[in-house]
Amino acid sequence: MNVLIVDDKEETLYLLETLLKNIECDVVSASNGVKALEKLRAGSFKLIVSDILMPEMDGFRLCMEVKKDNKLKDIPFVFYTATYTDEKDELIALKAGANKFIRKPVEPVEFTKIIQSVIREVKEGKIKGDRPVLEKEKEVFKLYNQRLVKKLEQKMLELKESEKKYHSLCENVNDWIFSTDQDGCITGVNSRVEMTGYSSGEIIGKRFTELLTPRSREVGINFFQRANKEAGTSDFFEVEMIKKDGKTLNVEISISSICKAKKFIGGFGIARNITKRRRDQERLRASLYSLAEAQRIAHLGNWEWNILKNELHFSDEAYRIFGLKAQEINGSYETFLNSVHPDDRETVKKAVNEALYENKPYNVDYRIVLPNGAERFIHAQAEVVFDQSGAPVRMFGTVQDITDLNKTQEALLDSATRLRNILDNAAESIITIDEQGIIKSFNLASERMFGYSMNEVAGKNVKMLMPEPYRSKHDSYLKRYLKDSESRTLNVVREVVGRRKNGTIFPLELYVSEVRLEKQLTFVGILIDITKRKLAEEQLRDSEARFRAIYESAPLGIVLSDSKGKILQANPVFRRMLGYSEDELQRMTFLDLTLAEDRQATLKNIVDLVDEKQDFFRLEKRYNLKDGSLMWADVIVSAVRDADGKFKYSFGIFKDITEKKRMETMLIQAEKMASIGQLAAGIAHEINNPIGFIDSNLNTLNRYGKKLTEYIHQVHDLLKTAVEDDDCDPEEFINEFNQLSQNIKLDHILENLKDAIAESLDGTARVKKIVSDLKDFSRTDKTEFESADINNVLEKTLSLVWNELKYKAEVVKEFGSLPQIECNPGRLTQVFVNLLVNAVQAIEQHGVIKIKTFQVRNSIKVQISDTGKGIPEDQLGKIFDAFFTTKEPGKGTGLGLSISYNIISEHRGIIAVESKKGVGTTFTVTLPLTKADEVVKLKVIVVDDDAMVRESLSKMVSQLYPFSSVAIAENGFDAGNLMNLYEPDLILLDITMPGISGLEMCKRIKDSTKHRKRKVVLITGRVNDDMQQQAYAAGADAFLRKPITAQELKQAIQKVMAGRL
Amino acid sequence: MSEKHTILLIDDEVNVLRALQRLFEGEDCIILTAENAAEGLKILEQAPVDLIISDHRMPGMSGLEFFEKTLPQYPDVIRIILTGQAELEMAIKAINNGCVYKFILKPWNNYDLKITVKRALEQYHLLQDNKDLTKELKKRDAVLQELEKKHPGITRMPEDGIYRLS
Repeated sequence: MNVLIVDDKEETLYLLETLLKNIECDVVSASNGVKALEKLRAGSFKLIVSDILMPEMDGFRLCMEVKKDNKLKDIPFVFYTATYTDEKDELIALKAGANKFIRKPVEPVEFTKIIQSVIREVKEGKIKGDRPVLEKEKEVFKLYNQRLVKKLEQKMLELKESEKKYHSLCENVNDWIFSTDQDGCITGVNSRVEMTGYSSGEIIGKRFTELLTPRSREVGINFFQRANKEAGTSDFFEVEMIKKDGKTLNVEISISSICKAKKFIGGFGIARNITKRRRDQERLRASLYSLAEAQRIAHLGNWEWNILKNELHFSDEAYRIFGLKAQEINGSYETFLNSVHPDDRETVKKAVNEALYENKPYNVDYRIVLPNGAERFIHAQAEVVFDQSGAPVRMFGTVQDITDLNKTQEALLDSATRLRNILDNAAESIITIDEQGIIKSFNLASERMFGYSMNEVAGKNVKMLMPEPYRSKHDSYLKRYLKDSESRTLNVVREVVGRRKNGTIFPLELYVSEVRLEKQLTFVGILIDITKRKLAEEQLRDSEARFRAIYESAPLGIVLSDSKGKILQANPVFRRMLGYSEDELQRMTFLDLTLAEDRQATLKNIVDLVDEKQDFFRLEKRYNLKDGSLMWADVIVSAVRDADGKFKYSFGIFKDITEKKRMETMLIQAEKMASIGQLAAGIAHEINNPIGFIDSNLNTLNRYGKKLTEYIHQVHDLLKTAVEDDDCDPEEFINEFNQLSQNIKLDHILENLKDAIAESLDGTARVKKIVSDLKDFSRTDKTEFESADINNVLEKTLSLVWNELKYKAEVVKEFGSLPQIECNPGRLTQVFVNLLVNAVQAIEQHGVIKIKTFQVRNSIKVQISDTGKGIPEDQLGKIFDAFFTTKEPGKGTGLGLSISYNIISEHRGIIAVESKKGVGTTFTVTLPLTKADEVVKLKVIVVDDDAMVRESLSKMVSQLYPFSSVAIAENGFDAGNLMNLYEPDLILLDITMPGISGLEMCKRIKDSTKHRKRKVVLITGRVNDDMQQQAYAAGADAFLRKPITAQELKQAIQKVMAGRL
Repeated sequence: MSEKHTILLIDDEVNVLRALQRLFEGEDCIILTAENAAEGLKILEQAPVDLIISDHRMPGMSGLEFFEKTLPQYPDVIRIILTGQAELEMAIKAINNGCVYKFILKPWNNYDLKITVKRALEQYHLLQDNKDLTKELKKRDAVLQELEKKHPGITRMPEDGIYRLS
């Protein structure tokens, strides 16, 4: 059944595809509505499964387009969505013509069930694609849709943004995020674990509460106790944490429960280092305190003037201010005036008179001149005492030297500005209120956060920033606090909610401290908007849950592994795929599991991943399963890095493609046979030509033979007559002899005889060559790679296709000198046959085919260009698709280039095409260079009755020679069978085994003509001195005693394989 | 074969030309060879040829094309295709165009090829003789008619067998 799936998310497509393929659907995928329509119009489908929210064209529009199209409207349409989950949405979807509406996320199993039931219903005809769509509703829907789409697109962007943020958690979040099991043991952390001083490896498994100081520990333990009792518990607290180096750290922790089936299964926490914030808060408080201090700075002198007696008395402070000694002032109003700066005397006199006679307050600033000539600023205040008649009697007051005060005021102003600056530049909202809750200051961040300007809130009660019910409760709350200052709300971070000017309510983190300014109690509140954090936490939990579902139940292997390929964690599917238990896997690396031939590529990719040369890689490679069979897997591995970009672990997804590979191999073989069929006529010509003249020559030679026989008889007769005739005239004899030779044209025959034989031999050589080339090409596929010269492969290919080329094209060869590479020559021949036949077919009259080979750094390039008609641009993208052909029916399978592409991919190479209409086409095949001489490929059999020894020996061999293949046998009998099939270079043979002993086995090997050349290393665990002698007597090439170190084994192998290594 | 025949062999494979030359060496005929159709054309222009054996698939002009091209100018020459490839399409074309006497597949049988050539040449010879005789007859007839014009009645035999000259 053909199903089209439409979703803009790659991973969803992958998941859906896998699910649907499992229930035997043919799946085509499209990333949005536009692409889906293209595909719908190009193929025939029985079902469409589509997401709604997608870029370019969304699901609703797609559905309407489909229903508008007469050809497509009968295809049943199923929506599945995570965004439009409302019932109204379903109604609209159904109005738009959809047949089914599935809400995400559903478990994969459940989803499969739904899809299966839909497919069943489709098959039974219960779901018919064609449903009438009402015109009017369509219009309404259109409008609604457009609005929604706009809104949702925006939302999607935001979501994507935050998702991105969260997916790259390690880079963006400064908080340490961790997860625990239900007992509080840490199971996972992000890179910010560094704040604790521990590495992730060290911290995982530790109990979270152990990280807290004894006085903080209670809070943590309390959480886990509560969480275990009541699902869904979450908490927020500030604690002190002990770092690895023993130092403590102030941390605020937001922790919540991860629940599965309403059961608490672990904690999820976010820890923020607030040590710095604490320090900042302290600093702010200190600053406010210094402001209060500054206000107290003043030096006051006081004086008294007896008006009636005109006696003026100064205090010591006042003398000091005026720069006088006590005796120097005569104590009269006039002497005082003398000290006043001449310019200010009138002002002072006026102020005094007004105070004395007009009852005005005396409050004046003036300058004085000190005896040393210095000027000072003075602020004076005074009060006047009147007698009963109302006449002034006495005046007393203060003088204050405000020269310094002026400076202080400046300083004060400075300090205030600085404070303002601190406040305004702070990223956190800082609001100060007085005892009544009236807002005193409101920094820029607060304006941004609440949407109010300073002017709008100044002097108003802070409760305006709170939503109900907090708003009404705040006054009484504040009162209660003031009465009972032991209240716990201070100096503790709380999560509260705020209300913006536009009415929206959002989560906040609030820290309140109190400051006393001039005995005036001021509360300083520091607020942080945690909307994003909350959202992110939620999404993270969501994503965690989704991941868990995929991890447990998707038909994909999922594995986390470290930088050395060691398996840290593998999901059940992966374990089932390979047949190993979790324990077994965790003792293994990927290299142990990988087939020897694929190890180098795997290793290189892992190294590149760790070294940041790539972020992910995708390989099709083979694994050794526990049962000894092979599995082909499509593997995608990506790196997870910490905030500094350092590799942490890799995340691999595995899909079993063994069956697909088997089909591919069959397909390749079938295509090859098809191309042989195509070449057959040409090859027949190539063979029939030489056979023709060989046969003809043999007939001629036969005739010559007869003639020569006859000639010899005649000569014999002539000689006989000459001998018998005594009177023989020598001259006449010679004449007769010459006549005989001339008669049969002896010279001519002898000359031709030589040529005919030489030409015929040349002909047989040609036939032999072409037959062997053809045999090489057509033999049942060898999958193993061997070392080969690409130029040589090309020459052989040319001899196969020569007849197709030579009449239509001039072939120009530009072969560079190439090193040998590891490849499969048979399959490469198939590729080159395809490219050359295509090239000649592109040439309409007569043209040139150029074959160029050269080496570029670490790769070999083969360029095959023709001067043919070229490939139209719109077809250029399709030429590697299977079954795409421009040839008339019967002439091409449409598989040639598709299979060539696969073959080149198998060689980890690239095939690229460049074409210009009317000018020609160039195919470039790039093959990576593997230095064949660096790769030691050994075939080894390990024979030992002890499984542990077998395992450790084969592992050692694999590690020493990563490209070797190792087979194992439990006893001599199995080893014997294996040897015939496997043809090993080297046998590591235990001496003491049940059945045939190692010594006996070794003797048999060395006595057999077939196996004699194989090297045998005998191994014993017994401490018996003459064992070595016996081993060498049995013909062993080397002898080792258990336990064997890798070094010893290496030396032994080097010794016995000296010719090979 | 009463007189020396000329046979032209065309094949891009020299070894085939040499083998065929050896095949016909005992026969009383002149063998000419060409390694491609263009060379064959030149030879045709220079010497009278009675029979042509040509390969079909050759670089440049194919054997069939060569035959089609030379048919109008040399209608009497006997044409034989000797090819390693049994292409039905080509065979049909060769026969329908009526320009090929025989269609022989490689590898060939020496005896058969020789016989075929011999028969073909006999046929050619007969045809040629026939043509010559007809030509001679026409010539004689023309003389007679001329004579009759000059001396009416001279060509008619009188019953008594006596010619009377007036």
